[in-house]
Amino acid sequence: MKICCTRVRRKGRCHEKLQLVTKNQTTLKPSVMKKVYFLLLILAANYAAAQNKEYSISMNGLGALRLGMSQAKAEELLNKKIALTKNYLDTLNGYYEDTANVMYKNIPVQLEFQRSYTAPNTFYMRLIGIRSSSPLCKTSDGLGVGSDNLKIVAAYNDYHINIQPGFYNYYATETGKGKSTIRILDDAASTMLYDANAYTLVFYLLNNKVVSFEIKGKLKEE
Amino acid sequence: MKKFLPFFLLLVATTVVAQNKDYLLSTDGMGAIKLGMPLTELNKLLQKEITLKVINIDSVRLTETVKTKYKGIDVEIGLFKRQDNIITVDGIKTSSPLCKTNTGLGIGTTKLQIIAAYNGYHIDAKPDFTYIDEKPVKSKTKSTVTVKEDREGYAIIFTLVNNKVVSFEILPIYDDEE
Repeated sequence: MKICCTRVRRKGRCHEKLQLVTKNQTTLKPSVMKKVYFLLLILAANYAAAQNKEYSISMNGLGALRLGMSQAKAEELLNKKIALTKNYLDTLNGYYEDTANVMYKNIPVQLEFQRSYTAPNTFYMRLIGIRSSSPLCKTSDGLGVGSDNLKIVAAYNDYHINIQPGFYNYYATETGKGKSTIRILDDAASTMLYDANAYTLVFYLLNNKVVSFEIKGKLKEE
Repeated sequence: MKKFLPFFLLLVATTVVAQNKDYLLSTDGMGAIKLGMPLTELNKLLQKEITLKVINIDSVRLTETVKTKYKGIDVEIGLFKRQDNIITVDGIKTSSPLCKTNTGLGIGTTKLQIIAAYNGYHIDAKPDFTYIDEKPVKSKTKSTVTVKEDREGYAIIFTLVNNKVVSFEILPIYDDEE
């Protein structure tokens, strides 16, 4: 099927009209064309929705990446091995946490993993943080890179919101003109609830506009 | 009459400015009442002797809250006895609509207005929680917004009901107290 441009006469004037034409040059009836356009619209909408889901930011994940998922599950999802370099397998001297920079659905993300013990000296690496600065990623309210601070506050009105100058990090805050951090804490994070998964959505802003975000989890022991 | 009017207007404007200063909220106090002010100075300011019922009687207790009037409005003043035995102002609380910050925030102000006014500050806006059977239950109406210049130090705490300020408190906050 192809689209052809034909000239038609209507009310004494010539107009150009786009028409769907089959292989044997038969023009489709308008009623059939309407159904085809409608079907194409539905397909386009579904494709956009699927794309949106893949980059959807929530309190506990980004698209199919979910906090709490094992390194093995994350590798299966990304279809490649994740290289953790801090010798996390060394239970005496190795690091308890490690990060890796990977590509997820064509966007760069930083994944943070932490040891999760199932028995003494037996553990697996579990996803506890996802960080990205891709403008494709958005929350269900449409917030993402470029959003301003007051829109974030308005969208998360019922949550515990913490705002501070600099790019906040538990270990050290990165200071600098125009830098700030907005952290959205869920109820478990806000009340430091014991024996519950607690999630924090972090927005890093420059001059009150989001430049990157991070989803962090403090996960209960299994 | 024409000469009298400008003079009268000047007098009114000066009175208004003075009134505003009396009720001006900041992170270090309200009007002339400042955090850290000794009780003796507070008594002079209020032109009355505050009666202590706890600090001066019980040697173990170091804090006390008193209710009093300041420039015609009801205030609660927190007092603290330091190691040198000097009693100082350690907190001020009021719900008077006369009290405003230098940017005009006061009773009825919304959470968004507070956050917009304190750009660059440390802000903590959180809902109130109560505990039932040791499980936290979030309040649907009550919340607080705490504003500090730095991570630790003096703070203004705005208490909100249905996202509008109903009272303020000014006190020192140190990290492990939040």
